[in-house]
Amino acid sequence: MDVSGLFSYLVSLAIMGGIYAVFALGLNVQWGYTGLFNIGIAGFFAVGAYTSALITTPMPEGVYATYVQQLVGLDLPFPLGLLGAAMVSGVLGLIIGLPTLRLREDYLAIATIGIAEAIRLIFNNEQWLANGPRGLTGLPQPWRSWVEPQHYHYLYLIIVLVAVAVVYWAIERGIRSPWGRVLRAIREDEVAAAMNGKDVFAFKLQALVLGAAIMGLGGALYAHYVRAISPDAFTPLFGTFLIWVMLMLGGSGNNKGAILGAFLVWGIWTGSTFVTDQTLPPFWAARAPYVRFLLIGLILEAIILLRPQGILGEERQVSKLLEE
Amino acid sequence: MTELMVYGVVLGSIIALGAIGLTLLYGILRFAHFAHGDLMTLGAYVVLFLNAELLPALGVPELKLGPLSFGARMLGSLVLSMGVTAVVALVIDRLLYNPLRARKSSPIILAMASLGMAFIVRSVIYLIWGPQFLFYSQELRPAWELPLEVRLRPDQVFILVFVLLLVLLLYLFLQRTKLGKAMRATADNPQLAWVCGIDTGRVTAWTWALGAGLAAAAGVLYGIDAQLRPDMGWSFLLPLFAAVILGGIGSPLGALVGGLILGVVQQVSTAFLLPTYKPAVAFLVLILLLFVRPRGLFGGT
Amino acid sequence: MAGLDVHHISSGYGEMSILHDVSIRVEPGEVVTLIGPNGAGKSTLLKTIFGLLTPTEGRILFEDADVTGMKPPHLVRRGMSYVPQVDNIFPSLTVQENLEMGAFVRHDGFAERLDELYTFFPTLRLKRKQRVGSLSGGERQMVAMGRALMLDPRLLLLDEPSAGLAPRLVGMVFDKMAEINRAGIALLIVEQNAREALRLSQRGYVMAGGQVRLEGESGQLLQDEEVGRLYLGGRR
Repeated sequence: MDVSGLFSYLVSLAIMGGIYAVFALGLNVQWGYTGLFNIGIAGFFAVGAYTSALITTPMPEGVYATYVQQLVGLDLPFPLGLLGAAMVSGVLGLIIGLPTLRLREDYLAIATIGIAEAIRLIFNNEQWLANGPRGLTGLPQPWRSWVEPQHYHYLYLIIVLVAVAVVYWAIERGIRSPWGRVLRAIREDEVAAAMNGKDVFAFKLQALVLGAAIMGLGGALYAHYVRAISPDAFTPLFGTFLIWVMLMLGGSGNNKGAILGAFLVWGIWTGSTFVTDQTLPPFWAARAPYVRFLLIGLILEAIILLRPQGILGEERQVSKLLEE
Repeated sequence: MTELMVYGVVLGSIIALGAIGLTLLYGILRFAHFAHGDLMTLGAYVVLFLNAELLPALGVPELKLGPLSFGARMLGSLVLSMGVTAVVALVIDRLLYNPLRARKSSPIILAMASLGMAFIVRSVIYLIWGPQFLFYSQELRPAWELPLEVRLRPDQVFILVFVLLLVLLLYLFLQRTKLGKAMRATADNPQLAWVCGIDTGRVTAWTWALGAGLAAAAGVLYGIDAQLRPDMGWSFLLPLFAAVILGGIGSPLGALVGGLILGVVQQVSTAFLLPTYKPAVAFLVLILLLFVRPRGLFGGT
Repeated sequence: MAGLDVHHISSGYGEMSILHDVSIRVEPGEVVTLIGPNGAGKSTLLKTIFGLLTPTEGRILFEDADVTGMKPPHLVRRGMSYVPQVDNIFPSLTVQENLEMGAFVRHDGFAERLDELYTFFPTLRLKRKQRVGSLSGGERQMVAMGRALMLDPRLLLLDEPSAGLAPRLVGMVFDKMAEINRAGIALLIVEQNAREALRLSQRGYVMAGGQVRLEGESGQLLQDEEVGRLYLGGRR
């Protein structure tokens, strides 16, 4: 592979790493700071992607209308797509959280598996919604006209990195605020926090919704990068499990850890593709995705057993007030 | 409609087998075992290996059983597979969950570890057998005409009888044997069980053996009725958990009833919805349950 | 010596240290009571003796053997038994099954022992097939005690056996404990109902703040004004 090819590869690595970093940051709000076990990230991912797609593409006309069906086509600009994605995903979080957060913590986990599966099924079977299994294609690239085609991915990289920075900054501010302190108190000792008069349910719901909105944002960023989405892109592996491994590896309860984990795991994932495609004989090369599948699973178990705090561990100092 | 309900009972009995194992693990080991569906898958594929490859290679004949689509060799494979899956579960427990329990890890961490295990088991199956659908037998056995215009394949009758048998055996084990009672005691009050001197290690091992064995059987039965695919167990996860919660976590009777109800509801739903929506129907039942009666039918906690 | 000998035990929950340098003893066949305010560490001491907590310092001897840090499955085989204060029965099991669990580690002579126990607790014989969760508080306490007696222990540790029971049941529980002791079983009792407990026992220890503050013959403790004011709740 020549230098420009390598460079191109690295840029795409960075873009996807950044997109996944957004997901990991969202999960960090839910799990790292609040202890919520969300294993249906793929659902929020998908909803964000599809919402942005429906908002930013026009309704199909003429000959296209026979091939493509979608619920709405608002043809609005990219930032509104992002906003819509975050909002709808947040609402989904609300819907899931309301019945489950007052109950045992594993009920949320089971419910989130269900919602992710239900969403996938709906998008796959209801043609009128978003074109069923064929999905939506030709999603617009934001600010396309600003650069030449071969340099566009640099622009998109900047967009993604800005998004990561904004989300990171927003969460960091939130965590250091009084709201954030209550969240951490709840995760440490829910009973004590409740006895101190904190409405534990409300705080957990807010964390769930905020995390969900961030994930929706990530979904939108993903959609406009790959430009074509369909239900089978949002599998439990890519849409949920990978992100968990990212957060656990980087360090849950640590935003830098979330970002680190995202780039690292994505690097391992694509890097190992490289290795297996070049070195393995055809039969095994076809099975290679499952080897990587296995590897990622083993990495998670290794983390849980050997270093549950991840590489960076939890942030120790949350509030300046504690230092005094 | 009757036919849908009857088939729903068949499906429901498969779900019930899985759910009973899951609820035992929930009640005695106190965590949500997210790898349970993939143990079903493992059991099914191990039978494929035994019945279609290993045993024939060893010269064991099929020994056809009348109107069923399989023979005694398959039955033997089923039993062997239950044992193999139980051993695998025990090894996993020794390597993964036991160290976590020793560290007093929270149930959520155990659940997360089991989620990782689900993916690991599934990826191994993908690696060995590939992603395509597989079948135990290509034979088409004609359905029996039963009263009330119900048509059941002989295989399906076998499923019902087999599940009934296993449930009965389990009931006798839990109610009549010392170890079974010790398991129920541990589910009730693990610390008091320890105070009585009950060997929690043995109880844990037997819980895994039973839970995994039942899961394997459920997977095989589903494979007999439908087909094998690497994600078959994962797609059962929602109905399994819904059945467990419906019946009340920790109650094997509840899991049986819950499983049957879920099977019937899912099957009846195909009169109005596409069959692929069945997991979503299970999910709806679950959400409804969480709103209306999270404790379930026979639940305590 | 035979019996229980606790030497300079320090113990607690993880980082939190509760007991400091506690020493007590129980002679064979004796009844000894631990009294004192809440948080004094009385329950913690029982749990440490029975292996539910591991002491950080000190030794525990039972019938001349060092049992420091030994876990319940071993102590149960050595003739010690424990009735916790709460969660001391298996609610979804029947009365008989609860008793069966008490005899889990040694099943020989089970039928005879069961019969003896039913003679001792006649109500339980009547209700032996009932789920313990559906029994009344007093009956449950009987099951809890019966379960602990199934292996013929020589020392029985009881944590607040009369807690939460109606007054007339309290008397019944103390009568039962007296009967158990008459059969030769030593009792180490933690009780809030200090007066009744001291009347039942030969000796008592007064604990506060994780240490033994006072020890003596029960009669003396009952008459001691200070003890009476602080721990025995005034006139009775």
